[in-house]
Amino acid sequence: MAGNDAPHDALFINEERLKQLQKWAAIAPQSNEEDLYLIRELNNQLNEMVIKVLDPALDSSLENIMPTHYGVNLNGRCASMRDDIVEPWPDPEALTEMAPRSRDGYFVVPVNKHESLK
Amino acid sequence: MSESLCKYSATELRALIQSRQVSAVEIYDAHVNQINAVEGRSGGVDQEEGENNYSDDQHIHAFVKPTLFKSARAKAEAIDNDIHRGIDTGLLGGIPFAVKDIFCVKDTHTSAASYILHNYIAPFHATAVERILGEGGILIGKTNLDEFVYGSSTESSAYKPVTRNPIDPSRVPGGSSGGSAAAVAAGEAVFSLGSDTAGSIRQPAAFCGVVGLKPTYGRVSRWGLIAMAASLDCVGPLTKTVKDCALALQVIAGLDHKDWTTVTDPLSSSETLFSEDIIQQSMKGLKIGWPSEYFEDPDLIDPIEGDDILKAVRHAAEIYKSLGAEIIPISLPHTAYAIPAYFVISRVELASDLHRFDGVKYGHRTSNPVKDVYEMYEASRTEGLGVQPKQRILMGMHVSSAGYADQLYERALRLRALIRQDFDHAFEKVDVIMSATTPTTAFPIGGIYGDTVQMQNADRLTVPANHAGVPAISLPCGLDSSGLPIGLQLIGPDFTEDRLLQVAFAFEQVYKQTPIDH
Repeated sequence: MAGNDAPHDALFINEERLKQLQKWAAIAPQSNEEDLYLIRELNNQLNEMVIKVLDPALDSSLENIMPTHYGVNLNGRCASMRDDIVEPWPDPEALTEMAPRSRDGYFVVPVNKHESLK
Repeated sequence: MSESLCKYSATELRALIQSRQVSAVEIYDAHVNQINAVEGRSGGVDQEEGENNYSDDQHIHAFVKPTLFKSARAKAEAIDNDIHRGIDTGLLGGIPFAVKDIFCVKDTHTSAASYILHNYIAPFHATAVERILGEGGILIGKTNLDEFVYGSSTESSAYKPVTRNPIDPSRVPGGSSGGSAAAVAAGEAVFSLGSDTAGSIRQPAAFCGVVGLKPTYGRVSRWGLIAMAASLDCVGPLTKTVKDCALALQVIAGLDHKDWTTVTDPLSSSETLFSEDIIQQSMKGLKIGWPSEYFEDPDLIDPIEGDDILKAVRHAAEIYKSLGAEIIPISLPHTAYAIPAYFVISRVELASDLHRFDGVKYGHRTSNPVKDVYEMYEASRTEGLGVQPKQRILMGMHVSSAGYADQLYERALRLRALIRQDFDHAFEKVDVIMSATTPTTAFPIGGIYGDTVQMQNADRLTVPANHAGVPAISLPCGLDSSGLPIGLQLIGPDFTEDRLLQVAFAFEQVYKQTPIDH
């Protein structure tokens, strides 16, 4: 299996890569214990599962087939897409009131510190 | 009679209501009494699992929140009044049902079993829920699940105590629709609504000894279903019988302009599907595929527990032969790649889907001081999401990042097409494919939780149908040596739910599992 070969070593996750992923995902590191669990499980998944997608035995079959976004071919089976018309929600106040913070029909979030362009 | 009403199917109860032998209120009260008897303490995000708590250990905990008794009983009363006045009360008039808490139900708490949505009140109905309510169904509660459906045991829910298997409370009910399966098996609801991305209806149905259907992708609207992996998610029913499955599907299926992937293909009325003549005709000469990979690959069937499962499925094949069907060996050669491809596709899709939970418009926002909006996103998501959603998001970010997207994601999409091609080739030779639903029976609570690879492997016989988009049903076909239910999986070509249900029904009539005594 190609997945066990050295060229895929870069696929695996170390502490530095985890930090990068956490930043992209807007998830802060919680504890060393949780981070270690995440690294272990993510690498297990990569090693046991994900890497099988790279199995070179699949190469010739995959070359001759188009990627598909759905298993079922939906062409001609679905109704035409509805018109792109925006309709007002009947009770917008109920939506904004559900927000953690809102005022005058707007969602309120912390303001980012202004940084002047150099 | 009230307790025994909880053992009746929807089809039977409907007939009893219509003939005025039983009222909708009596049925409703019987189910509330059953919930009070077996459910145990209500779930909550601020509760810990009881340590050696005898009471928690012996109860089902199928629901995330107390049931909606007040409005539900009023609806049952209204249905009784309508029946007395001769007004049509719909296909499910007076039938109590439960909904997996991944579906939006207007004006009710909708959590996806996650702390990040612990305070979210849905402003609209999911289409499937709306259709059941429109046909007179009575919503009795929202059921527990794995957090954001990420799991196969319902143990990752933020809502504790964990849901237990009604057949053996030391075992998991399966997942992610574990609460929906447990509620039906325990007689707390007549049927329930679930969602299936890799087997999340069929696997818990198999573990709890009920019937679960994943319809063809596009058969049932996903509007109002909180998405996990939008290209794989399917909405379907969990029921006591195959007939009930057909009835529920008839109600929820069909075109919905809010979900452009829903199709116009027709579906027969459940009342016309199951006549004796039709069943006999449908079985004669029926070609059932026996996929060698599902039975012979040691990576797919658990070598230790698989014996009982294989025996049960072979017995099912003998029953089908006796009904006039032919069992034909087939090959689905890329089955072993279904879970790896699923790992990549689902993680990429869910990482994108879960970015919407950021503490701005709804859900949890950190109460800690933050310096800017980015810190607020990060703190809110970190506090609100459990460890299982986090690791899935991180994997999604990893495999879709520059350098890996083409290498892994696009390749996984091609692999999905190959798996689909396997099914296309198989259905040129056979009408239906049969297999076990799961590689093991229900495993002990805590047995594999935390081992994400082993947990995902629980779906290895169900996930190929999700890739292919084809319909698949699980129904009880036996018990293992510990008395735990075994599921038979039947898979059909696109949009052939009618035939699939007939084939399932024919087996169900011959093989009657010992009724579950609650």
